[in-house]
Amino acid sequence: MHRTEKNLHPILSLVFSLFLFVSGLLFVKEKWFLIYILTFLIILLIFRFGGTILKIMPLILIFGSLMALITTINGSRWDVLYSFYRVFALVPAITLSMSIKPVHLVRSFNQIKVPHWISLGFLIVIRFVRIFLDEIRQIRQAIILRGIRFTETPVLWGRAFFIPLIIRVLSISENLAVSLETRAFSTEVEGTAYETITFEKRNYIFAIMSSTCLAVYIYLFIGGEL
Amino acid sequence: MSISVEVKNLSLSYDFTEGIPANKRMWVFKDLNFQIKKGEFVLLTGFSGCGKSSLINMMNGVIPNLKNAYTEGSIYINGQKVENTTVRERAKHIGSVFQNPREQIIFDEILDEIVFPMENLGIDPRKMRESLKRLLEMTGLRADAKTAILSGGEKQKLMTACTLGMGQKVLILDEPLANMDTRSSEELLKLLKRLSEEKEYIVILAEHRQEKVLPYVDRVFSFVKSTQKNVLIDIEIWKDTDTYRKRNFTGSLKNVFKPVNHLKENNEVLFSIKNMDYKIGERMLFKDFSWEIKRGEEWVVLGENGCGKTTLFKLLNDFEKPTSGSISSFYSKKEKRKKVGYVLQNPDYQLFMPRVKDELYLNVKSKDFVYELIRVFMLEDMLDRHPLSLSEGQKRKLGFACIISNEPEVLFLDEPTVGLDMECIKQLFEALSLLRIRSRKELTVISISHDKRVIPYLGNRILTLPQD
Repeated sequence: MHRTEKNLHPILSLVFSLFLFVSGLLFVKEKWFLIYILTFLIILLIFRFGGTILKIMPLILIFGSLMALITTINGSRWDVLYSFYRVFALVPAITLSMSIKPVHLVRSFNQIKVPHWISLGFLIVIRFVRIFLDEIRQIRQAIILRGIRFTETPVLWGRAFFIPLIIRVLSISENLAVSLETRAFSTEVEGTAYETITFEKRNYIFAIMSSTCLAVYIYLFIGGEL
Repeated sequence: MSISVEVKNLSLSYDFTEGIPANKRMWVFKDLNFQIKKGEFVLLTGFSGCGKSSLINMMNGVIPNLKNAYTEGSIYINGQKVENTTVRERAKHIGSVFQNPREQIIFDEILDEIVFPMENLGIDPRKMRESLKRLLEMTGLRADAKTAILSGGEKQKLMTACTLGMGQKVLILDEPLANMDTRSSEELLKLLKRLSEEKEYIVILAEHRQEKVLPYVDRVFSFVKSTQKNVLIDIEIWKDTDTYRKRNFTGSLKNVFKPVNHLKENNEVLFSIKNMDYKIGERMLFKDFSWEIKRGEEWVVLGENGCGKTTLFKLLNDFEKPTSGSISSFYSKKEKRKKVGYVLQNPDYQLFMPRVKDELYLNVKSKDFVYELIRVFMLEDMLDRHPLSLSEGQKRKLGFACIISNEPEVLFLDEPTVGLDMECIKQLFEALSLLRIRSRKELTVISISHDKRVIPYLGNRILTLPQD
């Protein structure tokens, strides 16, 4: 069974998000940096990632401004700008990585015979981050329910936050491991796939467009001229 | 009928004292021997913390592979000795459904969660699709629904469906009915019975709500206090479930007080919900919903899994905001934290002090009331222990005691009796009665429960939420 998804092939998304993460940080001080970002934003918009970009943009702007503000303490005007750019450079990489569905990544890893321990690692890390954030929310609610306020008793608040958090994290790690083992997730046996993750035409187009643009910017970065 | 699961001289101990001889070691159970034949449906039952989950974990290999314990004896599945095999090797023969389903979910969508174990077992995709369809019909879950927005009961259904999809002939389920509504519980029990009768599945089910399960089972393994020295638990095996029911049935709440309606005409409205809509993602949980709670009322909120009972509690406690409409409260936000108590389903979130007594005396109004609660819950011997070292049942009682020791005017109870045996449930109701007396009959209680036995003791007004 094939799913029709607007998302790109998960491995392609993962590889390009890593490339864009590194290149973005490298290109921050180049005078064409904004054009580089714009190029990839346009490519992502063409491939229908507009919604994700809009979702992450407010957070990027807040975090970028915060970093820039911190740099104003002992940095020059350019340092402040570069601090903002460093956060802004993450937009294309984050957009691509957010589009990856963990299950699709695992299935495509299995298809290309990547060892199970690698896909298992990815799976647990992705899931764990989400559970961890949810746990923090629940613990904060429980603290409120026991009438503890940070402003009145900060030490008690800290205790009420960190002790359950540590206990919950240990419990969740154990239960996730048990869950995977009892559901026969094996590092030795080859399984089947409910659906095949195919490398469709749009993936080739994305790969060609992005590689070409990235090659041009790398060429400029190492001193080449157009 | 051939033997399919056999346990020989099985012993378990959590006593890690170095160099201790076997005869001095403290054992949870010692030299257990039993056989379960193909097609048998067995109930494991006993008081909270008696070791049912430990026995289950020994059978599926979680102990000692993933959880540390000292074990002796042998387990045979279809004649093959399995105690030296890994969990995943045993998973080919044994399907396990655990407590805490939330912590076992890996994927974002129900479809992926159900097919994942089938993929691992190398099941043909065509068969996977057939099983998926059947399991979705059985559970009433939607393939494309997000796992993050499922209720506790729906998550339990999902994990059960995952296990059933794997098709192992030995199924071990640890309190699968704990958060399930009546209809789903009955459907699951009927399905398990059908699997054992028609397809010769072995079903081993641990459950406190015995009266619900007894009509379906062939034998009862009752965990009782041991008479042997250095051993905590013995298992009595009952072939005749009717005799067991007559002799051992402790499902009586005869001497427990039911709430009495003391409501006066002019009692103030404490919470008022007007024309509220609430949506999670694409799912409309509440549509034009209105409700009023007056001082002194005792409500029980009922409804099928996923109808929004816990969400309603969160809305009333300002942890969620309605999509439209309004929720008003007699208490200001600051007053709410002092006068409203909320007992969560999972006590781990609300316990953080170094000793049980520190936990109980935190923010208390009256030390006398705490003494009474210690007596009622029989916590005398545990006061200096770390709260998180207690058993699940003891933690649940402690969590309840901590919240009511502050003598709240309004008490929210989210499934307060889940995982508790009848003795613990009686203690819980005794404590609740004490709080009612101390509040001079003005206590307001709003509870959620799927347990029909306890509903009349939790409240005298019912709010049934419709399924969306």
